Amino acid sequence: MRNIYACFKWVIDEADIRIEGKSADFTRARWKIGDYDLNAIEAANQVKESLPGSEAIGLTVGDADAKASLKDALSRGLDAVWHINTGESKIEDHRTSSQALAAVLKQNANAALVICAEGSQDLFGRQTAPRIAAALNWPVVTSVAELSIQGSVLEATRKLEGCIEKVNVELPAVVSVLPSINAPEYPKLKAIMEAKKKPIFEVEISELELKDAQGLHSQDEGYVMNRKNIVIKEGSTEEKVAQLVESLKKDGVL
Amino acid sequence: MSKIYFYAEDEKHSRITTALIQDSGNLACALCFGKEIPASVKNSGANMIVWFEADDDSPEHYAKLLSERLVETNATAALFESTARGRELAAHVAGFLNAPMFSDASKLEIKTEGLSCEHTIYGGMMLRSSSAEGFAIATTQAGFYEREVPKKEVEEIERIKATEIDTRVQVISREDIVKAGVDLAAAPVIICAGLGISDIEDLAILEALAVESGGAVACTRGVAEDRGWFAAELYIGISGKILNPDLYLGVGVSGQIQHMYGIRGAKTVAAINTDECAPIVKSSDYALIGDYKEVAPALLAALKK
Ligand SMILES: Cc1cc2nc3c(=O)[nH]c(=O)nc-3n(C[C@H](O)[C@H](O)[C@H](O)COP(=O)(O)OP(=O)(O)OC[C@H]3O[C@@H](n4cnc5c(N)ncnc54)[C@H](O)[C@@H]3O)c2cc1C
Ligand SMILES: Cc1cc2nc3c(=O)[nH]c(=O)nc-3n(C[C@H](O)[C@H](O)[C@H](O)COP(=O)(O)OP(=O)(O)OC[C@H]3O[C@@H](n4cnc5c(N)ncnc54)[C@H](O)[C@@H]3O)c2cc1C
Repeated sequence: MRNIYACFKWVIDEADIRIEGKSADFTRARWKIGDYDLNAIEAANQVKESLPGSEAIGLTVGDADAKASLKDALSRGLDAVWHINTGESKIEDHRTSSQALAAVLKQNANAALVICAEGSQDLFGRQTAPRIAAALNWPVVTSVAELSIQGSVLEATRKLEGCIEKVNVELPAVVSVLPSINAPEYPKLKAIMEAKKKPIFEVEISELELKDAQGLHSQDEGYVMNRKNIVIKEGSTEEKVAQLVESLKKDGVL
Repeated sequence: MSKIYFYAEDEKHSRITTALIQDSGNLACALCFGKEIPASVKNSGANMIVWFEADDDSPEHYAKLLSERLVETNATAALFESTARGRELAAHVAGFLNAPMFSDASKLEIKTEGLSCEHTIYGGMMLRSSSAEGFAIATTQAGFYEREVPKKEVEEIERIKATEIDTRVQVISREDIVKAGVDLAAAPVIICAGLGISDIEDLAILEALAVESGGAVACTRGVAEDRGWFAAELYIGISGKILNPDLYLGVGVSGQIQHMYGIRGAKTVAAINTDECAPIVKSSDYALIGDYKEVAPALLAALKK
C-alpha cells in the first residue's frame, strides 16, 4: 500500500487571544485546524488522485479536545484519520510530537509520503517534518511549492530565498509545503455527511514508547507594544502632513 | 570554553553569530558543506572552519554527518541561520539527536548549562522565554542582533572528506530568483507599500519618498506574493524580513500582527491609512488618517522643502 499522510495540528485561533498587560486570556479563543495544515491536507488529497489505490490519511497529536478536529479533517477529503491522544501527559516540545507521529507511521508501515505544513499556525517552529524524517530515517524536503509523484519518485519544486530548486526524492519521504501550494475550499455539505462514516483511529501517546524529552523550560507572556499611538486626523491634508513631519523630525528619525 | 558550531549563509549573519558565540567565552566553529569554502564563511572571524568537503553543495544533505560530528566532539550547541536550508538542516539534526531546538530565537544566551532565548508564538501575540539543559539547537535571524565581529579571515580549517551524504534527494535544477538589489537591513527609513496601494503607478511616489528620506521601499506579503509587484525578499514580517529601521512608514498597510512582527525593532512607526480602526493605528507612534493618493504627494512636497 502506498498511502499519503497529512499531519495537522489543532490550534487556538490567535485572533481570539486577548492580551492584557503581560497576561493572556485564552478563554474566549476558538480552536481550529491550523490554516496552513489545511494546505497539507489538500496536498495529500491531490497527490492521492494521481496514485490509484492509495488513501489520504490524517495524523494529529493532541489531547482529548483535539477530537473536535477529526470530523473536520475528514470532511476535507481525507479517507481516515489517526488521533494520537496525549491525554493528561504533558507534551514537552517538538521532540515528543514528532516522535509520536513517526511511531504511528512506522507501525502502519504503508506510507509513501508524509506531508506537513511548513510551520504550524500557533508555535510556527518549522521543525516537525525534518524531525519525523530523522526518526524514520527517510529523506526530507522543506519549502515545497509544487509536488507530484511519478512512479516511485517524488518530484518537488522548492522555493528558497535565492532560487527555485527542483528535486527528485526517493520514497517514502517527508515534505513540508508552503501555503501557496494550493487553495483549499470549504467542505461541501455532502463531504461533511460522508465524513461521519469514515474511520477514526485512536492511540494513546503512552503506548508509543517514545524516547524521553526533558530539560526544556519555558514561560509565556503577552507581547507588550509600547508606541505613542498619536492619531493625526484633524485639518487639511497639508496640515496633517506638516504635523507628521514635525513629529518625526522631533523624534530624530527624519 | 567549548565548541559551538554554526551554519550561516550571509556574511553579516556569520559575523553576528561569531560575536554571539565568542562573547559567551566559547569557540565559534563555522560550518560549510560542498566543493569550496564560501567567502561569507572564510571572512566570518570564527575560531575555525569545519569544512565537509564533497561535490554535493546542498547543506541539507549532510544532516547525518553533522549530527555524528556534534556528538563526537561533545559540542554544547549548534546555531543555524534561519533560512530555508538552515532551518531544515537544524531541525533534521535536532531530530537525529533528539535534541531541543529553538526556532527564530531572539535574545539568545549561551550559558554553561545550556541555551536560553526568547521567541514569539501565536503569530507574535505572545513571547515565550525558553531554556534548555545540555545540548540544544537554535535558529536565528540577523535582525534581532546588533554586535558583529569585524571581517577577518579564519586561519584554522579542518577539512573533512565527506562520504555518506544523503543521496536520496537529487537536485535536478536551480533557477536563481532575480534579486532586487536593495539592502533593506541597511536602510534607516522604510517606506512600506501595503495592499491599500490600488495602482502600481503609485509605487513611483513611494520610491520618491524613499529617495527623499534616504530610505528604501519594502512591502507586505500580499503585495509581493499575490500581486507580484516586488520580489519576495522585499516583504516584511514573520515569514519575511525582520528590520530595525529608525522609521517605518506603512502606506496602505493594515498592520496585521504577522507583518508588524517584522518591524518591532523600529525606533518610530508611522502609518498612512484611510481607516482609523485599522490595527496599525494601535501599533503606531503616529497614524495619519487619510488617502495616500493625497497624503503621499503632500508628504513628498513637505520633505522636499
Ligand atoms: C496537548 C499538547 C500540549 C502541548 N504543549 C506544549 C507546550 O506547552 N510547550 C511546547 O513547547 N510544546 C507543546 N506541545 C508540543 C507542540 O505542540 C509541538 O512542539 C508541536 O507539535 C510542533 O511544534 P510547532 O507547532 O512549532 O510545529 P511546526 O514544526 O511548526 O509544525 C509544522 C507542521 O507539522 C505538523 N504538526 C505539527 N504539530 C503537529 C501535531 N501536534 N500533530 C500533527 N501534526 C503536527 C503540521 O503539519 C504543522 O503545520 C504540545 C502539544 C500538544 C499536543
Ligand atoms: C502565518 C501567517 C504569516 C504571515 N506572514 C506575513 C508576513 O511575513 N508579512 C506580511 O506582510 N504578511 C504576512 N501575513 C499576512 C498578514 O496577516 C496580512 O494579511 C497582511 O500583512 C496584510 O497586508 P496589507 O496590510 O498590505 O493588506 P490589507 O490587510 O488588505 O490592508 C490594506 C490597508 O490599506 C488601507 N487602505 C486602503 N485604501 C487606502 C488608501 N487609499 N489610502 C490609505 N490606506 C488605504 C486599508 O484601510 C487597509 O488597512 C501572514 C499571515 C499568516 C496567517
